[in-house]
Amino acid sequence: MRVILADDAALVRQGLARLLEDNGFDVVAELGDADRLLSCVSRLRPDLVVVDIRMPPTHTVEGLIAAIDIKHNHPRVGVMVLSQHLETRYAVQLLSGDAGGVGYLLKERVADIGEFANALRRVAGGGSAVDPEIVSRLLERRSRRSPVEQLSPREREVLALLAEGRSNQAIAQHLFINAKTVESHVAAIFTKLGLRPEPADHRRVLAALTHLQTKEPDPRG
Amino acid sequence: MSLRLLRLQVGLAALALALVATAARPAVVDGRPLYPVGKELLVGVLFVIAGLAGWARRPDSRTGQLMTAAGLVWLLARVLVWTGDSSFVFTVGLVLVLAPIAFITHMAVAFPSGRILPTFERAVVISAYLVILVGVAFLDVDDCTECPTNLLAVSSQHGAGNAAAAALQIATLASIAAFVLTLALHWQRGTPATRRMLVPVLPTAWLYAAVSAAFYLVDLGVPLRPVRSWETIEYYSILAIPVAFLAGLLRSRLARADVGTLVVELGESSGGELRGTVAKALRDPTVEIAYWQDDPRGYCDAEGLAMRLPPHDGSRTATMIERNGQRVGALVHDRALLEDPALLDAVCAAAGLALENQRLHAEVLARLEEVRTSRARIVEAGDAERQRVERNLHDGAQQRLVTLSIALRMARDRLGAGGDPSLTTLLGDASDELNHALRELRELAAGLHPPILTEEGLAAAVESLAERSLMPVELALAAPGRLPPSIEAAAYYVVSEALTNAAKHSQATHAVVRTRRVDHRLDVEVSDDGVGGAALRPGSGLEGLTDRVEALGGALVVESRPGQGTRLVAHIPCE
Repeated sequence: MRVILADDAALVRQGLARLLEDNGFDVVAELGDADRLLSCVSRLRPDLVVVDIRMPPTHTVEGLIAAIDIKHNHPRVGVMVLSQHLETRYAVQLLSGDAGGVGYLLKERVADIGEFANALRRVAGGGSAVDPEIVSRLLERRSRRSPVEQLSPREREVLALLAEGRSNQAIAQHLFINAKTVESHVAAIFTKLGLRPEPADHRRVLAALTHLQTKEPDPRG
Repeated sequence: MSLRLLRLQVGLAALALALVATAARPAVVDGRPLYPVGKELLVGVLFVIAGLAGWARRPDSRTGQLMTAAGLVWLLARVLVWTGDSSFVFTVGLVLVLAPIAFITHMAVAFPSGRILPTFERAVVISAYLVILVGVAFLDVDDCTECPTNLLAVSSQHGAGNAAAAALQIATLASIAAFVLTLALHWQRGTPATRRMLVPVLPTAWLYAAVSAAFYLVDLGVPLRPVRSWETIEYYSILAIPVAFLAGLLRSRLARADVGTLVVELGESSGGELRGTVAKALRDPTVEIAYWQDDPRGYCDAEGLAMRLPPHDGSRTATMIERNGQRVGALVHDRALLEDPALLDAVCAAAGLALENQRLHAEVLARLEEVRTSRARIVEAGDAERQRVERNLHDGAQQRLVTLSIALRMARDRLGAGGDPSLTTLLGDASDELNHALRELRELAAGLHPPILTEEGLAAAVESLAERSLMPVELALAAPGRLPPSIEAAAYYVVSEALTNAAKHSQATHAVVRTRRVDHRLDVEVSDDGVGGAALRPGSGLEGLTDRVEALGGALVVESRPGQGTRLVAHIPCE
């Protein structure tokens, strides 16, 4: 799998490149800023781009903007955005595109190379990856009135994994249950939350995230 | 009045009495009727009395002195003419008989200051003195048979003398006309303060001038009717002169009552009305106020533009305003106001109070503004520093730790399945510990400065805060739109602190965050359903918030009665 790395922190970039090489990825280019990223993608046609969200010149969301540009121009190239801090709205922005193949993870996830490589392959294959921290943050907001409260503990587990971007198959493996059971859980979750069933993985991730993100209704009415 | 002046005046009064007695003596001795003598002397006495009174009340004006001099000369002339045996004394007396007319001209032209300024006025006065002196030559004393000879007399019976007499009469008429014109110009150019003093003087002076002119016209052969009654008019018009001049001098005193009103009005009015109020009290609408600045500008007008005080010999002059020996400004006003130094002093004192007040007020405002801006700068500098530290953490420690975490992972991979299991465990534990450190560092960095606030603005940052809060937070946020960073930061920290308090101390189960744009203000309100009882304690987070909001010119309101939840409202001004 051909990968382009873009991160202004040279040490991390080099370490990550070696780690990925060690784990069977082919790092075809390493960049220190987002400016040349799009042209580099056009030229090298990688399977995947791993980009840090915060890069020169303004050190804000250059990586995110580049990621959205890449998805717009090269829908088939997977883009994994890494960040030191997570914002749900950025995940939603990434997932809101037509194509799947996007990921948004905490940067330190790279050290858990097994999980990280899985997420990268998923994204390169058109799936999605959302950091578990975002999902748990959204799920942890306790509200007695939220429809999420009506889910069974197992359904909540399935919802969490689903929102992270995992396929039914992956969820089944993760929970040691059978894929059919996962399917019925997913159907139940969507019904209970009042969501339309979404065929594409990244669509259902988006639906789950935006549902969880929706502001709480005022309990006082 | 000083003791010296008093002594001088008493001496002059005594002199006048002595002159009256001396002048009246021959009539008393001869047993002649006293009425004509008394009538004649009364004029001089009246001049002396009015002169001394005016002198005492208005020591700065020379009018009083001139009037006293005119009176004394008048009396002396009578003494010399009535009692003089020699022709020389008699002739001197004749010159002095006419001299008061020149004094009156001098007084009227120079009124009210007694000083003569423009060349034209000077010419009028000098010509009056000349005409009088020359006039003695033609003084008709033929009907006084016992009188000694007028040594200066020129016989008007001869052709040359006749022509000279006619020329002198025409010159005198011209001089009277110039005199009348001068007074008219005075009136026309005068400020209300001057006019006020001229009111009694003008008609009297003009009447006297008109009667005098009539006599000369008759002498020149102009057919004017009974001269007898004119002599009566002339007598009364000259009698009216000292009274009128004294009245004119004293008129400005009446304005004194206005000073009380001035003080009251200054107390009530704002700074800008000072000039108007002072102008009213001084009855001089042209009054200007010069504000003294302790910088190279010196005197300034109300707009802060440099101002030059008029020269001391002009028609306008300046009076310094001082407070506690410190110069605070000056009043630029009509010279005529100098005639009433007491009024001017009182107005200056009142204006000084007001100026000092204005200056202190402006100073306090400036200091306040300085403090406010420095407070804002401190908060801004603090924010900038927090942002810098966050950035350093992100670019430095966080990246290094991630790199370290990658290295540990690679070490574990290199060790492989065949390696020392205890080492694998050790590396695994190190990785976990590192992840903890990264998490803590991430929270620390976000607490220092939330990047999303800079990136996406207040609404997004508040949404992010609400999402991280452990309790449900309802949001009602104003339409997004960026605000200045300091305002966004203040609003953000208000929400952040309020939500943290609600979750940590209030046992709240629900909170509501509202932001609103009202006119030129951002209102941020956070309310929770917790136990309440939050208070602004020194060193508390709420105090820090108050400082932050007040540094932007805003206000923070905390309502937190026990058992009734907490409501925090920040009003932050913004454009």
